[in-house]
Amino acid sequence: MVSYLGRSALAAYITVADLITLLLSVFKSLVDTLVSGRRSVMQVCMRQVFFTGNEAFKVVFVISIAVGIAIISQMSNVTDAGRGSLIGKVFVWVVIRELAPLITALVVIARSGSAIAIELGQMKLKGEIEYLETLGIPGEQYLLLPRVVGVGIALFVLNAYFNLIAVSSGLLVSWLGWQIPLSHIKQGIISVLSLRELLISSSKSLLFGVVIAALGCNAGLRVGDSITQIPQAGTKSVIHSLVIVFILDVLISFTFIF
Amino acid sequence: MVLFSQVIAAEVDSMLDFSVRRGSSAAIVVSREIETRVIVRLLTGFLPPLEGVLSVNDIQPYLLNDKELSDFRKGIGVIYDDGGFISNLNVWENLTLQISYEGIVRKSEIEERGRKVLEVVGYDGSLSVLPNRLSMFERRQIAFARALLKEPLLMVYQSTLDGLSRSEQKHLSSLAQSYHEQDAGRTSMYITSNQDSLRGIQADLIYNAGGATPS
Repeated sequence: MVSYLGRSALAAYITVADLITLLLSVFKSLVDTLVSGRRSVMQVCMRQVFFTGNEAFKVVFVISIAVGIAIISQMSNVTDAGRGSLIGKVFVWVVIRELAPLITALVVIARSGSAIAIELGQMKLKGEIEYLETLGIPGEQYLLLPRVVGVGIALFVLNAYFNLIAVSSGLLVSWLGWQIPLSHIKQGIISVLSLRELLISSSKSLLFGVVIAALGCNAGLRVGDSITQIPQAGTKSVIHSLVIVFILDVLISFTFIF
Repeated sequence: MVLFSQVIAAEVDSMLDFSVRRGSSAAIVVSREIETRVIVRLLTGFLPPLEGVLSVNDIQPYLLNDKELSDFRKGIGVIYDDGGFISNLNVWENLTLQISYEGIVRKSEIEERGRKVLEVVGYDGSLSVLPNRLSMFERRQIAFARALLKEPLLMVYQSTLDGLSRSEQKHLSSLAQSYHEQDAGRTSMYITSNQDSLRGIQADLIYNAGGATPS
């Protein structure tokens, strides 16, 4: 039991240390990109934004409508129609602050985090990272930086869409289904929706994006000589991302509360 | 000058001890295919020797930092046996990756230079296909064209002529020879495990395991 705990703690420590090292090297290559490679890195980054953001949008769209309706349904059960302002407040506290960054992060972990790990794992196995570096193109700059920045941007935008769609669908259903005046809910939202709330939500999504991509890259780069390590890298990336995203979510929430 | 002084490396059976002077052409013949890749990795600084000294123009690549290593590698053209491509980029993107990355050349000039080197190597296939759709000969043509865009002073051919038909070998060896002769400062290294494939090559030095033999 003790040795199991020790091994788990050591594995967690190594993952976090790898994550920090990778993020530092990405930050360093961000500075280098200002000198050379801007155009190519930008192209890869835009592709990453497209694959992560645009292609996940449909999923996020459906989930955000469902979440908006589910929240409004539950709130209508616990409050009467005259308490529309409370529903608005709950929307801000639950959806905008917590659910939107978390659910969009989960979608991206499942779609893009594992895809990045598998793609980089395959490149590593086939020696393509070396091929790239033989051309004088640093792997960190061409492979890691655009993925980390691209997923960060995509998650930031997906989070904004999620908020907008979930709140709109919730408002619409509460008005049509429970005849709660829109003005009451709007009043509740406006009374608590400050720049700070939006900042919490946005900074969470941006940070989650960066961490998910970095963990995907890290898992992919750890692939050795065996092809069986590629699916393992995908799984590892998903598990590590889930754990770290939830921990970060709690930490950020606590930081902003106190 | 490329110097391998009593180099012992992982996965290479014998000690490597030879020098290739600037402007010359050398054939390095090893016993196993894997050793050709190891020598390329040594030359490009991916692998340090276990023992001995290795230098390219007095630079020991394994002692360089990341930035210096990137700059060093820009001066070497490597034609890998499988072409050395990024599999999710198409032929054109692979060809122009390095000059696009540099960002110092305009798009129209990249287009012009790309077309020109393709013409030189005689590639007239599709540019939009992924590299895994190419034949071995086409891959090496594209790899050669990509190296030409860098205009390197050191060209390294890793088993480039192996596994090709006689006419394909002749085509690539004449391209390599012609590139080599265009500038007196250009050095060429053919690394192979199959000495027969070097028939069309005029090498100043043929290094076999155990010693150097002037040709």
